[in-house]
Amino acid sequence: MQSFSLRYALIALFVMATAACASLGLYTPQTFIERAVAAQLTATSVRTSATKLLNSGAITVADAKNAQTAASNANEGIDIAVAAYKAVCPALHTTELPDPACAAPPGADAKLTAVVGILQLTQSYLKTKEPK
Amino acid sequence: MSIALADTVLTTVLDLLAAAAKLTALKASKDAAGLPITLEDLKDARAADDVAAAELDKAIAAHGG
Repeated sequence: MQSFSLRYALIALFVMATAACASLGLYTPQTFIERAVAAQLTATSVRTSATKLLNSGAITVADAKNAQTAASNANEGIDIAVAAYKAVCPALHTTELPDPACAAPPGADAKLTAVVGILQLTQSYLKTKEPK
Repeated sequence: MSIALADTVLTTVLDLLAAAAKLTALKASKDAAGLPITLEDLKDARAADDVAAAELDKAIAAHGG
Protein backbone atom coordinates (compact mmCIF):
# COMPACT_ATOMS: atom_id res chain seq x y z
CA MET A 1 0.00 0.00 0.00
CA GLN A 2 2.81 2.37 0.96
CA SER A 3 4.80 1.64 -2.19
CA PHE A 4 1.58 2.11 -4.21
CA SER A 5 1.13 5.61 -2.75
CA LEU A 6 4.81 6.42 -3.24
CA ARG A 7 4.61 5.37 -6.86
CA TYR A 8 1.67 7.75 -7.47
CA ALA A 9 3.44 10.53 -5.58
CA LEU A 10 6.51 10.11 -7.79
CA ILE A 11 4.40 10.09 -10.94
CA ALA A 12 2.57 13.23 -9.75
CA LEU A 13 5.91 14.95 -9.08
CA PHE A 14 7.15 13.96 -12.54
CA VAL A 15 4.00 15.33 -14.20
CA MET A 16 4.20 18.59 -12.22
CA ALA A 17 7.87 19.05 -13.12
CA THR A 18 7.13 18.38 -16.78
CA ALA A 19 4.29 20.93 -16.74
CA ALA A 20 6.51 23.48 -15.00
CA CYS A 21 9.25 23.11 -17.62
CA ALA A 22 6.77 23.53 -20.46
CA SER A 23 5.27 26.66 -18.90
CA LEU A 24 8.76 28.22 -18.64
CA GLY A 25 9.51 27.49 -22.29
CA LEU A 26 12.04 24.81 -21.39
CA TYR A 27 12.35 21.68 -23.50
CA THR A 28 10.46 18.66 -22.19
CA PRO A 29 12.37 15.41 -22.87
CA GLN A 30 10.51 13.22 -25.36
CA THR A 31 12.60 10.06 -25.63
CA PHE A 32 14.03 7.66 -23.09
CA ILE A 33 17.59 8.88 -23.65
CA GLU A 34 16.52 12.51 -23.32
CA ARG A 35 14.81 11.63 -20.01
CA ALA A 36 17.97 9.82 -18.87
CA VAL A 37 20.10 12.89 -19.70
CA ALA A 38 17.57 15.12 -17.88
CA ALA A 39 17.76 12.87 -14.81
CA GLN A 40 21.58 13.03 -14.91
CA LEU A 41 21.55 16.83 -15.18
CA THR A 42 19.12 16.95 -12.23
CA ALA A 43 21.47 14.81 -10.11
CA THR A 44 24.26 17.26 -10.90
CA SER A 45 22.08 20.23 -9.94
CA VAL A 46 21.38 18.55 -6.58
CA ARG A 47 25.13 18.26 -5.94
CA THR A 48 25.79 21.84 -7.10
CA SER A 49 23.00 23.22 -4.89
CA ALA A 50 24.23 21.23 -1.89
CA THR A 51 27.80 22.49 -2.40
CA LYS A 52 26.70 26.13 -2.50
CA LEU A 53 24.35 25.76 0.46
CA LEU A 54 27.02 24.00 2.53
CA ASN A 55 29.65 26.62 1.71
CA SER A 56 27.24 29.40 2.68
CA GLY A 57 26.42 27.67 5.97
CA ALA A 58 22.76 27.15 5.05
CA ILE A 59 22.91 23.37 5.43
CA THR A 60 24.86 21.03 7.66
CA VAL A 61 27.50 18.51 6.65
CA ALA A 62 24.90 15.78 7.29
CA ASP A 63 22.47 17.46 4.87
CA ALA A 64 25.22 17.70 2.25
CA LYS A 65 26.10 14.04 2.71
CA ASN A 66 22.43 13.12 2.29
CA ALA A 67 22.28 15.08 -0.97
CA GLN A 68 25.51 13.46 -2.17
CA THR A 69 24.14 9.99 -1.38
CA ALA A 70 20.81 10.70 -3.08
CA ALA A 71 22.56 11.89 -6.24
CA SER A 72 24.89 8.87 -6.26
CA ASN A 73 21.91 6.54 -5.78
CA ALA A 74 20.21 8.32 -8.67
CA ASN A 75 23.23 7.59 -10.87
CA GLU A 76 22.92 3.91 -10.02
CA GLY A 77 19.22 4.05 -10.89
CA ILE A 78 20.01 5.72 -14.21
CA ASP A 79 22.58 3.00 -14.98
CA ILE A 80 20.01 0.27 -14.23
CA ALA A 81 17.40 2.01 -16.41
CA VAL A 82 19.89 2.39 -19.28
CA ALA A 83 20.84 -1.30 -19.01
CA ALA A 84 17.13 -2.21 -19.20
CA TYR A 85 16.76 0.10 -22.19
CA LYS A 86 19.72 -1.50 -24.00
CA ALA A 87 18.22 -4.93 -23.38
CA VAL A 88 15.02 -3.87 -25.17
CA CYS A 89 16.67 -1.77 -27.88
CA PRO A 90 20.21 -3.16 -28.30
CA ALA A 91 20.74 -1.90 -31.83
CA LEU A 92 19.30 1.54 -31.36
CA HIS A 93 20.94 2.83 -28.24
CA THR A 94 23.43 5.09 -30.03
CA THR A 95 21.06 6.73 -32.47
CA GLU A 96 17.57 6.08 -31.06
CA LEU A 97 15.36 5.79 -34.10
CA PRO A 98 11.72 6.77 -33.58
CA ASP A 99 10.59 3.27 -32.61
CA PRO A 100 7.72 3.58 -30.07
CA ALA A 101 8.95 0.54 -28.15
CA CYS A 102 12.33 2.19 -27.68
CA ALA A 103 11.02 5.69 -27.02
CA ALA A 104 9.62 4.54 -23.69
CA PRO A 105 10.51 0.93 -22.78
CA PRO A 106 8.20 0.22 -19.79
CA GLY A 107 10.66 -1.15 -17.20
CA ALA A 108 13.42 1.33 -18.01
CA ASP A 109 11.04 4.28 -18.12
CA ALA A 110 9.47 3.39 -14.75
CA LYS A 111 12.94 3.24 -13.19
CA LEU A 112 13.84 6.65 -14.59
CA THR A 113 10.57 8.12 -13.33
CA ALA A 114 11.38 6.83 -9.84
CA VAL A 115 14.92 8.28 -10.03
CA VAL A 116 13.64 11.70 -11.10
CA GLY A 117 11.01 11.64 -8.35
CA ILE A 118 13.63 10.93 -5.68
CA LEU A 119 15.90 13.68 -7.02
CA GLN A 120 13.01 16.15 -6.94
CA LEU A 121 12.25 15.17 -3.36
CA THR A 122 15.93 15.81 -2.53
CA GLN A 123 15.75 19.21 -4.22
CA SER A 124 12.62 20.00 -2.20
CA TYR A 125 14.48 18.94 0.95
CA LEU A 126 17.37 21.27 0.07
CA LYS A 127 14.93 24.11 -0.59
CA THR A 128 13.53 23.77 2.93
CA LYS A 129 17.09 24.36 4.18
CA GLU A 130 17.51 27.60 2.25
CA PRO A 131 17.98 30.65 4.48
CA LYS A 132 14.78 32.66 4.86
CA MET B 1 17.95 38.59 4.84
CA SER B 2 21.52 39.65 4.06
CA ILE B 3 22.72 40.15 0.52
CA ALA B 4 24.94 37.06 0.87
CA LEU B 5 22.01 34.89 1.92
CA ALA B 6 19.77 36.34 -0.79
CA ASP B 7 22.50 35.54 -3.29
CA THR B 8 22.64 31.95 -2.02
CA VAL B 9 18.86 31.59 -2.40
CA LEU B 10 18.97 33.01 -5.90
CA THR B 11 21.83 30.80 -7.04
CA THR B 12 20.11 27.73 -5.58
CA VAL B 13 16.91 28.48 -7.49
CA LEU B 14 19.00 28.97 -10.62
CA ASP B 15 20.73 25.62 -10.01
CA LEU B 16 17.36 23.89 -9.89
CA LEU B 17 16.35 25.48 -13.17
CA ALA B 18 19.79 24.87 -14.65
CA ALA B 19 19.20 21.19 -15.36
CA ALA B 20 16.14 21.92 -17.50
CA ALA B 21 17.91 24.85 -19.16
CA LYS B 22 20.97 22.72 -19.96
CA LEU B 23 18.78 20.05 -21.56
CA THR B 24 17.03 22.76 -23.60
CA ALA B 25 20.40 24.11 -24.78
CA LEU B 26 21.68 20.62 -25.60
CA LYS B 27 18.54 19.84 -27.60
CA ALA B 28 18.85 23.11 -29.51
CA SER B 29 22.49 22.45 -30.41
CA LYS B 30 21.73 18.87 -31.46
CA ASP B 31 18.77 19.99 -33.55
CA ALA B 32 20.97 22.57 -35.24
CA ALA B 33 23.43 19.81 -36.16
CA GLY B 34 20.60 17.49 -37.23
CA LEU B 35 21.55 14.94 -34.58
CA PRO B 36 19.54 13.25 -31.80
CA ILE B 37 20.53 13.26 -28.13
CA THR B 38 22.34 9.94 -27.58
CA LEU B 39 23.97 7.90 -24.84
CA GLU B 40 27.22 9.75 -25.65
CA ASP B 41 25.53 12.87 -24.30
CA LEU B 42 24.59 10.91 -21.19
CA LYS B 43 28.26 9.97 -20.76
CA ASP B 44 29.24 13.64 -21.03
CA ALA B 45 26.60 14.56 -18.44
CA ARG B 46 27.93 11.83 -16.12
CA ALA B 47 31.47 13.19 -16.48
CA ALA B 48 30.22 16.64 -15.43
CA ASP B 49 28.38 15.02 -12.53
CA ASP B 50 31.61 13.34 -11.39
CA VAL B 51 33.23 16.77 -11.22
CA ALA B 52 30.27 18.14 -9.20
CA ALA B 53 30.48 15.13 -6.85
CA ALA B 54 34.19 15.78 -6.26
CA GLU B 55 33.45 19.45 -5.51
CA LEU B 56 30.79 18.47 -2.97
CA ASP B 57 33.17 15.96 -1.37
CA LYS B 58 35.77 18.72 -1.10
CA ALA B 59 33.25 21.09 0.51
CA ILE B 60 32.15 18.37 2.96
CA ALA B 61 35.78 17.72 3.92
CA ALA B 62 36.42 21.46 4.31
CA HIS B 63 33.53 21.65 6.77
CA GLY B 64 34.86 18.78 8.84
CA GLY B 65 32.78 16.00 7.33
